Amino acid sequence: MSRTAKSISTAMAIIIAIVLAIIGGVAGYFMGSSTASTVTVTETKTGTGATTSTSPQYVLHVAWITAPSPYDTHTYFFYRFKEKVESRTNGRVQIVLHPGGELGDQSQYLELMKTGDLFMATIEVSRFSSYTSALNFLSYPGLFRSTDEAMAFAESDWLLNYSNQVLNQYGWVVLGITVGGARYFLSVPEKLITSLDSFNGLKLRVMGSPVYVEAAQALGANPQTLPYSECYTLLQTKAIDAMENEIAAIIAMRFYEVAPNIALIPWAYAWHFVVASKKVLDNLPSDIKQIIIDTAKETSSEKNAWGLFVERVTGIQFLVSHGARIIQVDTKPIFDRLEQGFLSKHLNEIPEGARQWLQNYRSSMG
Amino acid sequence: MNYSGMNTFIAKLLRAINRVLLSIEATVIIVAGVLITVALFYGAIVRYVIHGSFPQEAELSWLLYTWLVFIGSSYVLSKGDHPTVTFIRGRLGKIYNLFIYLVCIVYVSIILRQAILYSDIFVLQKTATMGLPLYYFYAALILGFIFIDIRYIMKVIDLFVKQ
Amino acid sequence: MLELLSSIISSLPIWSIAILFIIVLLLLILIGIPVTFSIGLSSIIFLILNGKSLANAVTAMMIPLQSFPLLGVYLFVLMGTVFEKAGLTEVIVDALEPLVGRVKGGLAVVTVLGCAFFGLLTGAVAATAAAFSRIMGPEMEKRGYPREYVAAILTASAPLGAFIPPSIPAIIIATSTGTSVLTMFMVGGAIGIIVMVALIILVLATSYIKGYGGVEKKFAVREVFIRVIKALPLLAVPLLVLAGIYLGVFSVTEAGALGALSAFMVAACYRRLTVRKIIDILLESGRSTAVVMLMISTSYILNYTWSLTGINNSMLQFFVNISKTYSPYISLTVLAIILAILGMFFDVIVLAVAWGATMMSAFTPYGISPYHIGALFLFAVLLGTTTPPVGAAVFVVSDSLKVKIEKIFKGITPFVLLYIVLYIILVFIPDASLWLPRLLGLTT
Ligand code: NA
Ligand code: NA
Repeated sequence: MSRTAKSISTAMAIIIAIVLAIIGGVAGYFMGSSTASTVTVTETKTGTGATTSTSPQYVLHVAWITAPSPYDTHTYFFYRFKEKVESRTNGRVQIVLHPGGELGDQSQYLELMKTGDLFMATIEVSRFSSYTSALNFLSYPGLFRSTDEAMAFAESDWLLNYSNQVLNQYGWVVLGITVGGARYFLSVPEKLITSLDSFNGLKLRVMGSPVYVEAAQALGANPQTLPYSECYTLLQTKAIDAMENEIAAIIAMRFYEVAPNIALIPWAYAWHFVVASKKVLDNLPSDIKQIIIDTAKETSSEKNAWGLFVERVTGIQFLVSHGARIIQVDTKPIFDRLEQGFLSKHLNEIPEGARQWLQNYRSSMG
Repeated sequence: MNYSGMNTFIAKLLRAINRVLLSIEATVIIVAGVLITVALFYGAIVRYVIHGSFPQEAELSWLLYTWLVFIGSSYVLSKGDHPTVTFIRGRLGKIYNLFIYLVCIVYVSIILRQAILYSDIFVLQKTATMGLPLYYFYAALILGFIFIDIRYIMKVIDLFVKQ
Repeated sequence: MLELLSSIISSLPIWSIAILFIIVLLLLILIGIPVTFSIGLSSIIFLILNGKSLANAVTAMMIPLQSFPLLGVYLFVLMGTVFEKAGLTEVIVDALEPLVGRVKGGLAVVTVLGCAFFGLLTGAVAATAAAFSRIMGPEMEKRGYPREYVAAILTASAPLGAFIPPSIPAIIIATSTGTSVLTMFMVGGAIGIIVMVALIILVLATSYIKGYGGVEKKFAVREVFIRVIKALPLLAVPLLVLAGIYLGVFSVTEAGALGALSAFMVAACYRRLTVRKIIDILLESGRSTAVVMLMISTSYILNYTWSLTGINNSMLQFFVNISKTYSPYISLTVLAIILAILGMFFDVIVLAVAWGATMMSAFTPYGISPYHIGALFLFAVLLGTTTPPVGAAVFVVSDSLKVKIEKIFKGITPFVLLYIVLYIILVFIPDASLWLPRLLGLTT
């Protein structure tokens, strides 16, 4: 045996030993896997048992889909939430942030929360539709005619109770509901949306669900359901004329660069649900659990206020300063058309309680 | 894999299994590949030429792609392996290669086990546009990884049968 | 034992966990576990040691299959495979040879230009390497180029197949960083043109100094004309694809379908297709796509692991701190070095998937263009295909020319040095990668 061959075999022996050790570890895990299922609540042993220890007892992971930005309300929510919870629990809880879709997208968050690997996330309401259709009505175009209306509904007890009734069975607890923003129309330089007539034959990208296609058709548009990830390029090459999105997303995805005409028609709303894992939440001591529930609710309503500010003030300023053109449109004819051509056919999908709430709200507003 | 020179029972069995796997893999790869290409082309033409829409485009191609990739991953093993560094492995003998295959089998089985355990979650879900149950998608992963496991086991047997 | 390991891991600082992770990953790769499974296995080991459940590793694997742009991986592989299997590479070489083949080192230039041209027809490095090794290898040897040198030129030129759009790494990088595939294609084009020019200068200089390839063929004008005419229909495919995208008929992904269908059409016109061949092409494309996509799919487990164990977050802090203390360019340099070193051992497209979002949040606040970061990833991925001990281009060339990998590495040293110089330029001069998209009016 030559010297190189010898040293190779020695090296190999060591490597194999290491790998075998690792595999042994993995195998060991499976031997005892029935008890080894772990949740995100990692309890660190504090050797001295001191109650005012600064090292956290509970590490909770939270995630959201967008990259941190001052215009992003998810970011705003979780930064505030972290700060408050950590201080209110005297550092017993540590919140770990996973922004920017680091843990996958919102359907993964739902699955992670179901298994207890993720504590909390903000979820757009459409993501629940792969499990249940009971919440679909929230994003029906034309149902809410102004952001104030939508926000009042978001903070109503009726909606919170209804959502929890629907979602608890999947292992999720809804701690707060916020309006992600009005979905406005944005179009390429050649196409302006100024009235109902502008929709005629407009190649309009909508979300991939039959109701949006139907609602867009009711407006006279030619709806396209191409994937969101392709939208920037599709607008850039004018394969589509227009799409619809929230102000914060228009800024984050830089859609205004290729579709600078923004028509302020709030045809639908994005809803961000603050969802926690039931499994993790129920395993927390009751005092911490209460702090989290209260803080989530409080911060949700702050998120709503901040969202309104972004939508009406800072977001619009940003867009205008980046060359976008903001178009004010008389929305009444458009909402009336949506009511007749679309909503009236789907009344049975909107819960009685929601219709009742809207009626009361509208009559109280005069 | 080529057992043409041998006529032992094991060689015959391996040949038969290989034939079955190959015919399934080839069918899936060809059908999925052709349909993806046609669906995407059709989607663009419908939008541009007839100003219509083809809302199933994204979900249909997603389903087909899932099948193509996971079943294709097993087809990769029909001749050769997924990209591997061979400069240590190539110098060492049968037992060493057996060890490598076993590690692969362990890994693939772990994923497979998790995918099956996970079924209680994905059976609840369906896609947004077409309402396709999500287990149509996960079935591709599960079947693909079962095939991969079978192919590695065949490689192990192959190590010892060849002499 | 697992508990012991687990408690040791949880007491370690996060950076040492990151290093430990890389060591385990590299070990698994080096002992000969397929790269994809090494990524998956190391991730699973760390998930277990961190007390995370494995259930979600499975959903992580499903994420990339849902991505519409990643369908382009299959379509652009298919398009290239049609040309390769139909033997249309020869047509390109035939046309280029009389045009540039007569200078000293001419055939070497033909190889570089040919790979670049073939880059318009395919998205993959390995396909380019395979197509050209088969044709140019024997031909160049016949005309007096040493075999190791031939192998080195082929290895160094093959990445042009994925720099020049369409480009599979560019699709994956754009998808994982949330940027425009079209713009990322043009970033690749910008770098590709620079690499191509630099390679031509280098091969001409070496051939001249070493006296390689003195005897080149002469051609009649008529012959040259016929050969060029014969190659022109090939250009129809990339032109159709680009026009389809620019005129707004096709999305970039759909244009891949157009490219694949028209490639079949062109190959049929050259009478190079049979039913048997079509089946071969579909199976081979499925095979190469599965290799790439299973690796991407597994990289999502890696991403998930690094995110949950806090490795990504500490990487983010690490780069932000360097940017704050020194400058974002120093920070980019560190990233570039990490990518280049790891790129020696495995396809760093994996890191684009695992780090894409993290790197965007680390650098864009400092005014670095997302496409500049994408350019560094793209370059690192392709540099990695030509460096020892692991590289797609190296493997293919070594296999088809029957040259030992060690010998290629000796021959390729000057080329790798050239690549490194270009890499440094890319880090410090954003315009080097952004000039083409900007020229075309794309926002970067
Ligand atoms: Na290319
Ligand atoms: Na390498």
